[in-house]
Amino acid sequence: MDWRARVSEALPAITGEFRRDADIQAELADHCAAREADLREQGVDPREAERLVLRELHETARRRAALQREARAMHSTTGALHRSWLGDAWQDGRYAIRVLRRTPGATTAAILTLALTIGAATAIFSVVQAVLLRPLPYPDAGRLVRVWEVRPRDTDHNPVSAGNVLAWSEQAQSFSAMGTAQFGFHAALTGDGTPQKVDAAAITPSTLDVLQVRPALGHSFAPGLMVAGQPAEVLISDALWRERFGADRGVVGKVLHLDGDAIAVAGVMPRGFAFPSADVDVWFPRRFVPEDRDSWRSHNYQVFARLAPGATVASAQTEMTGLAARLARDHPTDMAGWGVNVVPAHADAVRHVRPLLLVLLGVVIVVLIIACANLATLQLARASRRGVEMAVRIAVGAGRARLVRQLLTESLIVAAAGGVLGALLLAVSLPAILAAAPADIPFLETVRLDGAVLSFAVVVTIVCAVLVGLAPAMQAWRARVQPSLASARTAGGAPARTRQVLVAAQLALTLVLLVGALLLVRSFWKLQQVDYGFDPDQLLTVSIDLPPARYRENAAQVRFYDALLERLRALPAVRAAAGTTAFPGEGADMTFSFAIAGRPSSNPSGREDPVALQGVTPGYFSTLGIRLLEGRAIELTDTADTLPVLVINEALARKHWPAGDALGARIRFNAEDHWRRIVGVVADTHDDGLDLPPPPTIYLPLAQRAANWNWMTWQTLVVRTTSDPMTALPSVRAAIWSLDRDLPLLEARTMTAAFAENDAQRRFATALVGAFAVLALALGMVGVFGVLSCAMSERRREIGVRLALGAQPARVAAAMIRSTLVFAAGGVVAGLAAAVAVTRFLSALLFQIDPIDPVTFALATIPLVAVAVLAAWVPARRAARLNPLTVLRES
Amino acid sequence: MFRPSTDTDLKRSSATVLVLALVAESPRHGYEIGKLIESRSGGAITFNMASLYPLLYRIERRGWISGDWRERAGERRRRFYRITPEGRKVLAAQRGLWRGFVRALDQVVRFEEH
Repeated sequence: MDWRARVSEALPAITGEFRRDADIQAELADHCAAREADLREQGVDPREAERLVLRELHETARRRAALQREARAMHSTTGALHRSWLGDAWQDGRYAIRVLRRTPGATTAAILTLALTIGAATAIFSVVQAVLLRPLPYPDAGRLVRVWEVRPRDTDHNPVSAGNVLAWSEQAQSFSAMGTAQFGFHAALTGDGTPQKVDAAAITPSTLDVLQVRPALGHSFAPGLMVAGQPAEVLISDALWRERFGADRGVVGKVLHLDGDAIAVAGVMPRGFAFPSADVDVWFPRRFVPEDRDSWRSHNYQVFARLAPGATVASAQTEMTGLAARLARDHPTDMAGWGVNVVPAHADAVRHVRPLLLVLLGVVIVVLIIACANLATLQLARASRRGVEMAVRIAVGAGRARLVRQLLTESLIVAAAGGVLGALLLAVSLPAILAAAPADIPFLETVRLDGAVLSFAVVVTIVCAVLVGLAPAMQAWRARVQPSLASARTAGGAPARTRQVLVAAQLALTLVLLVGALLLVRSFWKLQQVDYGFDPDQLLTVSIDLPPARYRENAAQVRFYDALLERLRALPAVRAAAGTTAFPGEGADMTFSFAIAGRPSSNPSGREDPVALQGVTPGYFSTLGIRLLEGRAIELTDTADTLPVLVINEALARKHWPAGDALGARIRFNAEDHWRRIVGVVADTHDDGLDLPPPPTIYLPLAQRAANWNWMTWQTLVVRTTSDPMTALPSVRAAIWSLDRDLPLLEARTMTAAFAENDAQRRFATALVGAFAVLALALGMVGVFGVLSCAMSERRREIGVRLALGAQPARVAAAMIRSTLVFAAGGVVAGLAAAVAVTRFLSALLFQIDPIDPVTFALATIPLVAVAVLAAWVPARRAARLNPLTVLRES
Repeated sequence: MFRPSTDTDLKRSSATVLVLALVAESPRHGYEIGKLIESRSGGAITFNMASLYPLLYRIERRGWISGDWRERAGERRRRFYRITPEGRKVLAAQRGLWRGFVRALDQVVRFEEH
């Protein structure tokens, strides 16, 4: 027999001073044990001995008044010496651990719940901190801005033309420095060692002044915006320096062979310099030539600037708007209607992921609150069972403040254990979480568990402790001695109501999550239903880029691609193959404005608004399965020597030839260009992603490019395979290398994967919000079950009396379920109202569904109500099956 | 039938001297004290838990005995009470008091005549 446990049960609180109580309980337990041993020695039957001692213990408990009086008197004379805040805290802690260990199952469940939710909240926060909160890694980064062109009737994030770059750089006063960058290209690094593909960027020398970063080794680029005989130099990354050059400090001045050109290393950038991303290993200098001053139509530059002292984003915006108006006056043909957009650089970099991250942060905070409400409910239920203990403690003079502290200590210990476990879980799982996150989140590689993240976890843990402990503590504060002692087992009005309100709140928040999750799921489902405009299955896409040094002329490039496609089509695993300059799923890489023969444009430039242009090979439409609606497709006979032709898609035809007379119309891209005849119209394809409308597109036969379009060196090969596309990759690669051994494959993936990457954010949000909603639903179920079980045990006597008086068991059960439905209904109403208020924050992640879609709202309530009724069912049935006699005998 | 053990007045008045006498011999734990009182009184005087411990705490509070936790060889940790110097004085005084009282009582009641 565990006498210690029996004693603390029978005499839970004697003085209210915990160490003293523990002492007395230990002494009495020792007495019981000795007495039991004695009785057994005297030959008393062990069970009888136990019973005798128990009776004596209960007699002692019944007559505890004397014991309490003496012990308290003793405590007030000697105990005061031990009193100290820290000592009390220590006692509170030890006592709390004892209390918690008495219910190991509930305690473990509480710790796990908090570990999971605190861990999840901290995980999301660590990403938010790295992506949204941490400033860019440059000195005084708050003064960095991006400057964009605003295209008439279109985007306000348009890359900038060389003409604008030069005009802005020379005229704007708001910036202490302005630089440009072009990225996303590659160079083959050859020479000593194996040939290596490196990611490269081209930056104006002033870009380093904007960022205020100097090379760690060597020197920056020679200054100068214009080409003026500066040496051919590159800057290399710390990573490349270490991996390729073994951190040799003598690398400065060394000549590298990049794409066949001999270029000297000017310097090595500091470790961690990741501009614009961590993949870039080589920076080329970008300089302009005088003709660039009149280049307004090619928008190729990303502009970065540093605000001058005293300038603000708003003042810079005002100045740039004026400058744009002046440029529009000076160059009305090209610049009329164009504007400028000045945006803080950090906000600009994260603008695409901000909604996603804020939604996820909101969701984990809601889950955290649900978990806390859930645990508070269970604590309350437990506190009502401990009502007698509390009342006794108050009766013997334990201060209420002390009791409140005790309860808060208990929840703090649970929360702290949960927090520590959660942080450990997170530390272990962070790499996996980051791997699952969409790859297009910037700065994801900088996520780490640093001081800020751990502080967040600590604050969350403390808030959880308070949230969980507050309700029971308030109840203890309000508790009056007499009622609790007298009617500890009868229905407890106020606490029962508090519990119901807490559960209703949980259900309401759960409903908000369910609505959000369902909106995302339905969006996702609708997205899956979108017709690509082509058949995406069994399509392999491989991007390659011909080095201009070896394939300078259009003809050489076309010859290569024709030969390659012929070899690909001959492969047994390949049913069809073609090429395009677009990157499927990633949107229009190139847009061109154009003029329509015999139809002057209303635009000042005389040309129509730019549309997507793809340079494609013959067989492109049939390979992808794009339906030909009118006219003909691009044929092998459309060569540089034949009549220039074009195929357009339906969206473009609808835009400019709504009467259906597109066939035969002629367009050209600029005054030097030939007129090109539209010979076919094809069905629309969602090239920018399934969630975006099909872009109006012009398909140009690659072989019929203008002579000076030889920069269009790359192609994405689309290969229709007979089975799993990736199994065809080795033979495709071999075919490419059989023509040119030095050609790296830039990207190789299936078409479905390319599109999946495109909606990775939405997929991620749907999976996470869905998982959290399910977790919340499970917690809600536990909450309802806990409250009802507790209400039932409190009302056993009442129910017993009713049953004894002839109430139908079924009606008793129905009454309990009805009472659940009442507060569940309250939760549903509150939850729907809250959902209406917050789902609009999801808009950015939704697709073809209204954030307050009534069907979704209705659907979301179904699992919630079902779970509430299900959770109520078990205790209600148990109540209905009570045997009135047993119940009445108990009291 | 007369049962001294149920006569709380008598027990209460004599309780202090009983405890002090026993712990004056050697330090003893609560259960041992109760058991010795019972056995030496031939079962006439018994204390159960409910009355013994309040008594011990009261005497301790007055500073006549002091209890502390210790281990004896081969036994578990128990709370042992030992008599304090002041307790010895009280015991001596109470012994005198009770001796005189019993003698006086005897002269009046003549215990041995039955």
